[in-house]
Amino acid sequence: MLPTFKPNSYVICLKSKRIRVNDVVVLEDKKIGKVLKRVKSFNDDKVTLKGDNNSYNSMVYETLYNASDIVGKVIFKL
Amino acid sequence: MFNIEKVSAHCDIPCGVYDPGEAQYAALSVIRFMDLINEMPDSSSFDKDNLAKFTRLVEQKEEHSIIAKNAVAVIWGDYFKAPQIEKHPGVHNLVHSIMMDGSKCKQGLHREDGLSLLSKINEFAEMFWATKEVETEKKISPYAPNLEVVVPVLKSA
Repeated sequence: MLPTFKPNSYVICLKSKRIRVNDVVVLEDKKIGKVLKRVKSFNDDKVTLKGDNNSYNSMVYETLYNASDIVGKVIFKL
Repeated sequence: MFNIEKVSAHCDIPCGVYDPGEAQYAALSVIRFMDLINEMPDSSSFDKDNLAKFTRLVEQKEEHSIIAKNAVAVIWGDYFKAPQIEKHPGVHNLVHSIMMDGSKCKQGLHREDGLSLLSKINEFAEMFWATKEVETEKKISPYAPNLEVVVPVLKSA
């Protein structure tokens, strides 16, 4: 998620049902665990993610998640 | 007072492609090199050609032992994360044991060490594919040393 989030950054995450495209969220991936990514699309309780580092691809971006997988929305970066 | 959890913002290698097949191929190669070395005549009767062949086989045996170790170490270190380790708590001991067998194969010519290396890498492959919920099957490699390998059941194109 460079350049927005550097390694070992601290973020404050809030449980919220008001998730919009381009929000940064923490999401629970069944295989990888908790990931921090930006919301690419949000339709009918289905979510896709993207990263801020365009030189980098991930299997996470190919996955269609449920809205219930979202742990919370990042509201603050320390 | 606060429980600060760690999350991944950089969650995978760029391509996300992992496959223990590289380690299995290398382990089969190690056994093949051991067989070829052990089939050679006694070293006291070596001519220059045999000496060159022997040196090359030994070098390749050691190189492929390292390839097998590296391939397993990368999957274990980069792919296996908390959710996979929770489901397969034996992975650490298994990988350590593979490292030890790989070293034995580098050092010696004992075929049983090669067979043990392959057997453990097959076990690792089974574990890896299980984390991806991919069904596996046991097949005989279609080339010498014609030994059993655990492979994913591939879907038709």
